[in-house]
Amino acid sequence: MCWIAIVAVLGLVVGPAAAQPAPDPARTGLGIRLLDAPSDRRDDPRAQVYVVDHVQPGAALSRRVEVVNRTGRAAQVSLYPAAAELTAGSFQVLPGAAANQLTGWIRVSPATLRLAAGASGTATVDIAVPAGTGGGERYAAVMAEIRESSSEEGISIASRVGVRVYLSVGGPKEPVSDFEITTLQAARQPDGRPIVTAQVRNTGGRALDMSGTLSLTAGPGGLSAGPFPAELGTTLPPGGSSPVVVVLDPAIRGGPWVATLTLRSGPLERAAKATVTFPDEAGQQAEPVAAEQLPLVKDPDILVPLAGALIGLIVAVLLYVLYRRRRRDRGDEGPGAQ
Amino acid sequence: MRKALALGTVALSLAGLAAAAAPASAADVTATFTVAAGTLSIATAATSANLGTATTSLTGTTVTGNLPKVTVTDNRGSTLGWNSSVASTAFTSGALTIAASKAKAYIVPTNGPTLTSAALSAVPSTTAIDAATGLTLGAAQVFVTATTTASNSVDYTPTVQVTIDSTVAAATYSGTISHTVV
Repeated sequence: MCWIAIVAVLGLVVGPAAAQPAPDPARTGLGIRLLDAPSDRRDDPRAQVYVVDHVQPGAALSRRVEVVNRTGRAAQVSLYPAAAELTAGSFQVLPGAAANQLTGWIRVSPATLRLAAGASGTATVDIAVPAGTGGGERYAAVMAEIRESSSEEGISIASRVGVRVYLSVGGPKEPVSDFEITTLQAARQPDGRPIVTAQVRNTGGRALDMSGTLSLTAGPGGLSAGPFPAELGTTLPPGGSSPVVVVLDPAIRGGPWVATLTLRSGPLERAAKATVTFPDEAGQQAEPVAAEQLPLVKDPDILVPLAGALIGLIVAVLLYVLYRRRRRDRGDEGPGAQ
Repeated sequence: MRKALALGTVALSLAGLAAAAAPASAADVTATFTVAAGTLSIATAATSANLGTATTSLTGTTVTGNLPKVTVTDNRGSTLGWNSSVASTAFTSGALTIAASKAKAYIVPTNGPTLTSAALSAVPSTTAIDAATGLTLGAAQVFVTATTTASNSVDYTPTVQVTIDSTVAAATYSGTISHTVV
């Protein structure tokens, strides 16, 4: 009996000292996730989470989403498509049941799911693109919303969660995705943390969701630092340009440092580097420095034709060698036979 | 030797043709498979809020109050983030409406955003909705953006401040503030 009491006391004393109480995993609220992705986009992380596709006019596609009710009580969930736009470097869903051309092509069924506490349900998202539609990429989101009419006065709080849709319409070949890191700018935030802001321009034909890392090398005393993750949330429309910020460790000082930034969107990856020096005072910015593009790392659109061209070159060389040998053999036989 | 060379050439030609033909994306049938990512969720501590009372005056007045805490949980384990935007409808009382030109809603996260569970310690960035411009009633503005990859959970308590000018009549006004996470 008394050693059980000792164990209990020990448990109190040596328990983990959590700075924040961990959120109750049973009460994460209203959740949604994508259930299907195309097999030919298996290596695209964006296609596993968003509805990303390229179709020709007249085509149709279908995806399933799962809605989970972890609000702790039964709920009636409304499902509907809402218009979205890429504004100020982010993917924004317009308020309410805003409509655009893409939402007119989307049908979510069922439109309402009655879910008990802890239950989940599946809905099908059918997108039918009419024949004769002009090319281009459109944006929307499949929203799940709990609508409760509150009898209390004051401000009603509504919340909804959704799956983004990036649908490109056009010819048989999907527009190529590409981007360019134009400049890197070192700065120090008002709180003193050093940051590097990269200006990124979308030079391709599809929207990009940027992520990546920054490494510092050849710094004062030969120091290196990083990699530091780039802040998420920057979505670039085709032709758009936005900053991507990397927040660094407060211990990083001065310079010059060689900053190498690697950014990616889906399976596409690009890297650039520049020499930067961080200002000493908080709240100051250095001048933006033109970034030098680094050789391609992972781009299936370039590597495969390049490999094909190399193989073709080897084949051509071998054929030439064969031809020369045949000519030489015939030359030997000619005079020898006589 | 010649035969080996010829065979090698043929083999390489076939390999080259196969490699060049592989990326053709003109698939007639799109096959699908099921992914195993987790969910993106939003939870609010309550579905209504009372911002309190303010007294009308010649110089206008301000109503300030906390909205229920919002918790966003991202279990998708992806390299992509999420953003949370906020929108407000106009405030009405029966037939009375506070016109958008006469009220500004200003929302800040007073508590948080706090990263409650994640492998990394990056705090999500917030866009404080400028007091001068305010939250345009009827439009949505991105408010909190996740900065970490992999699964994470963030909570924040927004404070809303509605600035009303002197022409607004005394009444109990209501409206809807909605959070969208995508």
